[in-house]
Amino acid sequence: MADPTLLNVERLSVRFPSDRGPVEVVHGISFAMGAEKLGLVGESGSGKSMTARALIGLVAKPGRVTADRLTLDGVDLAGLSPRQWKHWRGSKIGLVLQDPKFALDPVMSIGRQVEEPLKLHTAAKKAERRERALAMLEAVGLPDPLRAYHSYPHQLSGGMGQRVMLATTLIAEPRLLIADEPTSALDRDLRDQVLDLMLKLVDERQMGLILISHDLDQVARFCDRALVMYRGDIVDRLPASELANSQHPYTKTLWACRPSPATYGTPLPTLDRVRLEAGA
Amino acid sequence: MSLVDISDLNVTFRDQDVGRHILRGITVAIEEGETFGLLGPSGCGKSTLLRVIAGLNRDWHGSMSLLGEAVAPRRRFTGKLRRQVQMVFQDPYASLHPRHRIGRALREPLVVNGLDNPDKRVTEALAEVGFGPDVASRYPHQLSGGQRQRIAIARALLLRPKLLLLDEPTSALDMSVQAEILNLLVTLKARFGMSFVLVSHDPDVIGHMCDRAARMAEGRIAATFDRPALAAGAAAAR
Ligand SMILES: Nc1ncnc2c1ncn2[C@@H]1O[C@H](COP(=O)(O)OP(=O)(O)OP(=O)(O)O)[C@@H](O)[C@H]1O
Ligand SMILES: Nc1ncnc2c1ncn2[C@@H]1O[C@H](COP(=O)(O)OP(=O)(O)OP(=O)(O)O)[C@@H](O)[C@H]1O
Ligand SMILES: [Mg+2]
Ligand SMILES: [Mg+2]
Repeated sequence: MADPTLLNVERLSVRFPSDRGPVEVVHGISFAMGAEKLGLVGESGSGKSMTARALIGLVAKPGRVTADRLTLDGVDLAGLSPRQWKHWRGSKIGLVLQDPKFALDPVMSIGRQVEEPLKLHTAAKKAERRERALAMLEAVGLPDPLRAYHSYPHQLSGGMGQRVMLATTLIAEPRLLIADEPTSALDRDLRDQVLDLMLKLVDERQMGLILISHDLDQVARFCDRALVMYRGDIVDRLPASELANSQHPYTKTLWACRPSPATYGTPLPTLDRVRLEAGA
Repeated sequence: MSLVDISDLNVTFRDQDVGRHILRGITVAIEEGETFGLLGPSGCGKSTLLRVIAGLNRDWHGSMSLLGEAVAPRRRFTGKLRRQVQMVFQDPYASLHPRHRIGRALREPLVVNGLDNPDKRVTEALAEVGFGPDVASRYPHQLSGGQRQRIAIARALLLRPKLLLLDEPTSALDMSVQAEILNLLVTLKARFGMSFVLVSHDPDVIGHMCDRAARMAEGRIAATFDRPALAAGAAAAR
C-alpha cells in the first residue's frame, strides 16, 4: 500500500440540527491514504458527498464537523482559518462537485471560471492563463475548446458542464483531488477518456485521488482500494479489484442489481434494507 | 395514430452570432405504451429533442403531433398537453427552486392544475419514491444528489402524465437506488398507462427498459433498434 500519510482521518462526524435533535449523517468514520486512488461507493444519501465536503471545509452551516484527527500532508485541517482554507482549497485539495450546473457560476464565462484558480494561486499572466485554460479544456475532451471558453454554462450540454468542472479543478494541480461523480453525465467512451486523463494527472503529479462513484465497475477498474458507505458508516473496505467478490450483503446487492438487456421485463433485485439494518 | 409523431424536426441555436444547427431533420414516431430509448454521445442533441417534445424549446421547424394533437412551434402547451406531458431533467437542480421547500415544489403543480387533496397526493408521491412525509419540509440543498433526483421523479409523476420524458433519470443514483427507481417506473407505467421516452448513456439501462431505441449522432437519428436488436446487445455496440 502507498505511504498513508497524505490524508489522515480519524472519527470524522458530520451533524445537522433538526426539530428532533441533531441528526448525524456521517458517523465517526476513519481512514488514511497516500498518493493512491481510493474509491468511495455507497448508497444514495449515505454521506459520501458530506465526507468530501468535510475534507475541504465546505460543510455549510448549520452543519457541524468534528474529528479526532484530520490532517493533509501533516497539516491539521481542523485548525485552518477561513482565509487559510481559501488558499488550501484549490491549491492543495480540489473538489469536483456532483452537480455541474449548480457549481458553475451562470453569469461568468467558462474561460474565466477555468482561469480563476490560476489567478488565485499562481503568478501566471493573462496570456499564459488563457493558453493553459484552453489546453485544459482540450485535455478534458471538449470538442471545440475555443467555443467552450467563450460560452456560458446554459449553452453547454450536461456532459460538457461536467468536463468544464473537472478542468477548473485540475488546472490548479492540487495534492489531493476529490471527484464526486465526475463522469455520471458522460457516455461510456467519454467517461473512460476523462478518467484516463484524471488518472494520468494523478500519477504524474503523485497526487491522491478520492473517486466518489456509484459505478462499481469503474471503481474496480480505476482505483487501488475501495470504501463502501451505508447510512453514514464505512461498512466494507477492500482492494478495489475485489469489489465483485465482496461477502458484505450490501456490496453484494450493488453488483446483483445491475440492469442489462437480459433483465428486460423482470424486476431488478433490490436491497433487503430491513435485514441489512438488523445487522446481517 | 402514434403518441408522438415528429417529422423533419430542425432546431438551430444562435451562439456567438453564428447559427448552430443542433437537430437536423429528426423523424420519429413513438407508440402508445412504449418505452422508447435515446442514446448517443454527449452533445448530440438528446436533451434538446426532449425539450422540444416537452414544449420547453418552442423554436423549431418541422411538424409534430403529441397525444393526437398537432403542435405548432412558438406556442406554449395548454390544457391537457401541459399536464399530460412531463419531464424529469438531467440536472435535478435545474428543476427545483433552491429557496422553495420540497413540499411546496410538489404542491405547486397540483394547485396550478386544480387537483384535489394536494397534501395527500404529495405524501403518496413521496412514499412512492421511498421518502417519509417529513422530507417535505427540507430545501433541495439539504438532500443528497440522488435524493433530489427521486424528488424530481415524484414531482413529474404527480400529474399522472400520459407521456413521461426522462433525461438520464438514474445517472446520479447508486445501483441499489437505481434498481428501485427503474422497478418503480415500470410498475407505475403499467398502472397508469404511461409511455416513456428515456435518455440514457448507459446501454444496460436502455437494454433493460426499452421496447425500441434510437441512437443519435450530430443531431440526426443514426440508427433505430427494435426489441430483438436490443436483446442482442445493440445498444452497447459502438
Ligand atoms: N443541510 C442538510 N441538512 C440536513 N441533512 C442533510 C443536509 N445536507 C445533506 N443532508 C443529508 O445528509 C445525508 C448524506 O448526504 P450526502 O450528500 O453526503 O449523500 P451521498 O452519499 O453523497 O448521496 P448521493 O449518492 O445521492 O449523492 C443525506 O441523507 C442528506 O439528506
Ligand atoms: N441554449 C443553448 N444555446 C446554444 N447552444 C446550446 C444551447 N443548448 C444546447 N446547446 C448546444 O446544443 C448541443 C446539444 O446539446 P444537448 O444538451 O441537447 O446534448 P445532449 O445530447 O443532451 O448531451 P449530454 O449527453 O452531454 O447531456 C450542444 O453542442 C450544446 O452546446
Ligand atoms: Mg453525493
Ligand atoms: Mg443532455
